[in-house]
Amino acid sequence: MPSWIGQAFRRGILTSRFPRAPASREEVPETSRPPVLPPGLERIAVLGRAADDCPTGAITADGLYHGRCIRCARCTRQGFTFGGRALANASRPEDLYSPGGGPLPERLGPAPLAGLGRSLQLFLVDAGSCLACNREVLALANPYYDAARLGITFVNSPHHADVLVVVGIPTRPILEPLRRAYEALPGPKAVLAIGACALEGGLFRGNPGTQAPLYETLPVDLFVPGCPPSPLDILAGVLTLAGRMKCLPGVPA
Amino acid sequence: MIDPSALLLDASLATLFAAVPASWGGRRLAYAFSFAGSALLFAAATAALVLGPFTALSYGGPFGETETLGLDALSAFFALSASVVWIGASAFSLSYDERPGPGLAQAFALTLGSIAVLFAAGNFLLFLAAWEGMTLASFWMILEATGRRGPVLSAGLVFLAFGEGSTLLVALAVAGFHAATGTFAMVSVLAVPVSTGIFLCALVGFGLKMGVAPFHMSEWLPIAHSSAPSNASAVLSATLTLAGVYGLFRVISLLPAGPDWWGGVVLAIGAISALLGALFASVSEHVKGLPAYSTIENNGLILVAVGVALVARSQGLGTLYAFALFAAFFQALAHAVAKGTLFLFTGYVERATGTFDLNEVRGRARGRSPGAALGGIVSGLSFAAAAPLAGFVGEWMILEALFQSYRFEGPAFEFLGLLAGAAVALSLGLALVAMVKLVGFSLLWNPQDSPAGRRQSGPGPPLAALSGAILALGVGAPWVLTFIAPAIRGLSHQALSAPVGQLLDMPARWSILSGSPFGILSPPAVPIGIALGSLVALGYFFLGGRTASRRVPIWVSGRAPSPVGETYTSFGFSTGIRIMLGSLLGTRELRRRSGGITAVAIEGPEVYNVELEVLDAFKVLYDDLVRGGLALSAALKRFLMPGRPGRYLAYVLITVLAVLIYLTAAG
Repeated sequence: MPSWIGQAFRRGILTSRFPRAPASREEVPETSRPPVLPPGLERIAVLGRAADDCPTGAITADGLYHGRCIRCARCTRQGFTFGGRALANASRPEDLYSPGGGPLPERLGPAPLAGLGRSLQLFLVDAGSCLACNREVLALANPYYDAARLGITFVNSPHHADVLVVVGIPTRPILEPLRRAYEALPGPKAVLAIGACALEGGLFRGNPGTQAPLYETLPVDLFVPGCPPSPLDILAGVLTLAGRMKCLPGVPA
Repeated sequence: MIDPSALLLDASLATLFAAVPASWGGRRLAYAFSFAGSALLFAAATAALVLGPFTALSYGGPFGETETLGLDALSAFFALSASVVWIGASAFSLSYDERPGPGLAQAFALTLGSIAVLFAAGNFLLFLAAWEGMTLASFWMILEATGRRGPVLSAGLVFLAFGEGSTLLVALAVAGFHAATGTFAMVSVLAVPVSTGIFLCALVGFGLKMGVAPFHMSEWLPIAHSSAPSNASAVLSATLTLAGVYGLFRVISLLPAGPDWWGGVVLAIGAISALLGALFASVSEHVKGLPAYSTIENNGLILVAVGVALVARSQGLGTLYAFALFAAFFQALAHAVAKGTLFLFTGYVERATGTFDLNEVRGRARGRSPGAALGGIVSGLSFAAAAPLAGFVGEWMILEALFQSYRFEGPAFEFLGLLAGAAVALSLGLALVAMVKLVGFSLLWNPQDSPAGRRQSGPGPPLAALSGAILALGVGAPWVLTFIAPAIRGLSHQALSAPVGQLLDMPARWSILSGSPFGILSPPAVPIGIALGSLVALGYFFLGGRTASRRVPIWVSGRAPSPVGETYTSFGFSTGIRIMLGSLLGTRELRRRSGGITAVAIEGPEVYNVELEVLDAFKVLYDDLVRGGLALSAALKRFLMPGRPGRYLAYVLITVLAVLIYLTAAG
């Protein structure tokens, strides 16, 4: 008998149980989760110091723009900790702003594809990424996350897709192809923006070769913040679009 | 008193051959003679099937044997199938043949006449003569194409080489018959060892004409490369291969039930041919190469049914034997009629658009002649096994026969049946791709930038009539099977009522039964079901069930569509198959700066076009053999004939010495 058969029986099922069971701490490591300001600190002072340190402008003197955070962890020197709830519930960037740096309100994101049942096809466009997000998105196809068990597959043409998945900050040459891809998608359709770059540009915000933010080019339905977000965050985002998330994803803070 | 059916056959043969001198009175006169002769042959064959076998002519042959011309049920069936094609092809040729000179019409008439004599031959010597005449006449017909030089000639020579090889092997089989029975008459052989030799010679000999793997070059090469005239292609591809099937059945009918590996060999060859033929058809870009490959596929399917029948006969499975025979016969009939139609349709496409490249046809054959378009669509659908057409019934029967291969004894045969079934199913799927491509890219889809083709009025009526025949054969399949049953009776005495069964409370002939407890099909019920379903769909449509539609530009990886218009090419349509089945097709990737055919036509100097090239492993093998043979003969020539007089004198001396020594020793 080939060794892999015995191995398979010995190891049992390793595939993630998400979304039937909540994600474990191993599946969504602390460093992939958003920073939070623990209660009991001198908020104004910490925010001010962290805002000076923050390379992307995610932290301002008033609060925290979750969409801009690249998880660089510089703010932990000022007292921030990682471990907030990973969120995929915002369809506008201002939904990801928490005044005072506290946790965001917990609610489910929009579900424009709720009528599509258990089948969802994704068309991935790399608009100008560092490939980190690509890796995490494509990890959905591996045996651990195995998005196909949920009816989620990747297709090679937007004509066959329900969701346009965009990673990376849109560079100028990709804008027109992006619009064409969106136009080629049959309705009902949705746009899922993955990662800080696709949200507001991340580290490259304001770069003259780029066109940030994405939502000025395409009607983005859902943002998945993170740099990069973990595959389960992305999966949760896709399932949210299809109306298949019954509760908020991620582990409690 | 003269038998009226014999009179019909005499008149038919006389008319078919009279077309040759008639051609000096004009091509159209010759084709009219061919038409009349084919119609008479149809009548004679019908008479033979209805009234029983007859002998039309009997005379003493050169070797003291009695030559007879006549039709029994078996040959009548094949004559009937061929004559339907010829009637259509002759009628089509009236408007198609615009070549200067009567050559094509003469070759056409000679081919028809030799095949008719082949069917009518009551003894093997005449059979062999007709076989050779058929090969030569069709070689002439191929040469009547665009010219007699270069690739045209070499493709014709390939045909001739395979044809002569076939004649040689058939002659060997006939010699075997003579050795076993002492006569050239068609008498059964009883001894098994000699019959194995006869069977193998006949299988390869007739297989060469049927164009099955690994001899399929003889089928597609002359048609695709030389662009033989379309009426010639129809006769070649539909009825020349049919003559091969007839020969095979004639030999089988005279041989005892041999060992079961006979059937296994036939089954394997058939399955491989079916798969290869369908595979290459689906990636062919040539308007006539594609149907030519499809012929390989269909002859493979016929061989699969023959193989199942032979195994069943050897293992004593009477019902399955009869059913598989019915399947083979019906598929042969369906293929002949539909392939004749399809090739005539390609002639129409050629005339309407002036090209053989599907990428250039691009729907320009659309709207030029409704009758011809109907012929193309119906015959294409028949090959795609769309219900209720003839091809659907034939392929259903073959699959049903294969499903019953579990009845075979011995795991090897069960496994073979299983593999053959998988190969046949795959080839049916690929045939669908091929036919959608051929019909779709010639008729159904017309990009705005394509210039319109030439309007045609001639090909409409014959093609429309032939498509009616395809439909009638499919819908009336149970009646057709009952009609051709006498032909099978000569091969099998068992279970003749098996294929024509009863479905629920329908009359007995409304359904086909493949054997208890197996499948059942009611071809006449299918159009009724389709009509009802269409009513529902139409009702939904007219009651406001229309959904919104939106037109979007073609997706070319996000690039801007070309200013001249982006279109899917026929090449792109089957590129998925080229890539997925690359290991079978030998797909190679060529990168070119520009030009060539690509999956999507790309404009712009900066873009590399990726070209995919497919390779037929057998053709490579034959090419290598030819190259090796030529190299060997060149080497021998250099060694034996170096051009030095001294060496030649030495040869003379050696010969004289050898003769002297021989004479001394003998004296």
